[in-house]
Amino acid sequence: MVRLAELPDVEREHLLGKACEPFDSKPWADGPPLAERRVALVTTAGLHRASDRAFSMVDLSYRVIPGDIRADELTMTHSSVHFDRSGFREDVNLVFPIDRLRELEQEGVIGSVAEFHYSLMGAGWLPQQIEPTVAELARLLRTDEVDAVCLIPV
Amino acid sequence: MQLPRFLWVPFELGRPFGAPNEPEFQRRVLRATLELLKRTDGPVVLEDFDGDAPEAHADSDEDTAWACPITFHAPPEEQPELVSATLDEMARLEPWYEVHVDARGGNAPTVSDLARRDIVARLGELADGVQEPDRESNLALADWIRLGCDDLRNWYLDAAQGQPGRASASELRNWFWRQTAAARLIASAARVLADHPDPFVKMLALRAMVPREYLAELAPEIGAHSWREK
Repeated sequence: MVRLAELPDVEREHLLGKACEPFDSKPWADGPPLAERRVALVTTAGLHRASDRAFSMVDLSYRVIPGDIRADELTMTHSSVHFDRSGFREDVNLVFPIDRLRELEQEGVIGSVAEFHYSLMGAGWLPQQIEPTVAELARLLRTDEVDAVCLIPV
Repeated sequence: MQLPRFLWVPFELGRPFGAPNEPEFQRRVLRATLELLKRTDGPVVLEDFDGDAPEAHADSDEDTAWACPITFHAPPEEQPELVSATLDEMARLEPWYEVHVDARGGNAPTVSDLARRDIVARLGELADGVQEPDRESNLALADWIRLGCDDLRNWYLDAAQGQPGRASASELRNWFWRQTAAARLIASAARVLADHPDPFVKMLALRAMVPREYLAELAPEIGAHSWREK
């Protein structure tokens, strides 16, 4: 997330005007050492395989990204016109560091890379509206025995 | 908002791991993120990442700022030939797009499967007030416009990155939205579509065709709308 001071005035005011309601609970979880964890990536960059259905303007669905995907098979149909896509087109790892995660697995920093990762379109809805989708993803991640998720906003 | 473990990074919007083609730096950011899993002093951990993205520089610095070597001669905003001006730009940028594709090792996937010249022509018709241009696509009009504009803009940015120098995200954004006929074509269509009878097309025109920061320059009528209107 860019420094607020470096944003154009209109963007800074837009972000500061957003209501961020606190959660009622404290979502804190412990787990095994990092070197034993199975890690998945969840991105809100609106990524998907080029053959998948594009995200729509207001979209509460998700796309599955197989763990063995080649980074250059991914495209982006996020609805927002406001953030940069040039960097993503140079290198998908800029928003979805799947190659970096594999390297950390090879180095023994993490235990393993999940079989599946997930993508959402992170604009156009309120946090509570996406909750059923996220609950479904949590069940899928548990089935894959994932015990660490790196959430990546754009 | 209470998030369990959060690494704040100072990079440009759309670049959460700092910079493209910088694997060492990206790995450092990812590792710093995952290391937060060791922390048990929650309920909230909010850490600042220590470091700026490689080669990031302020576009206000005239000594280091990137400038597109191809200079477009900006026509007046109301010039009626935005379609031909855009096609002319694309012809001049085509060699640089090819350089970019070679450097990247292939085309990046498109998002709409639409032909660029067709996107430009249909945007011209929309700007002229045609409400349902004849288009070879099964996409609804709002999706056609959004994905078509994405592909057009992506193509320009790919071509710009084929040229010498390494541009920051803000430099590329300013170049596209302030110097190209393509941006003026998109904005001229958005100005007309802001009154379109299809509410999805209207919402798209008001919110997602031209970035907020350029509305005052490119589409002041839209800029006058409140962004918090639902």
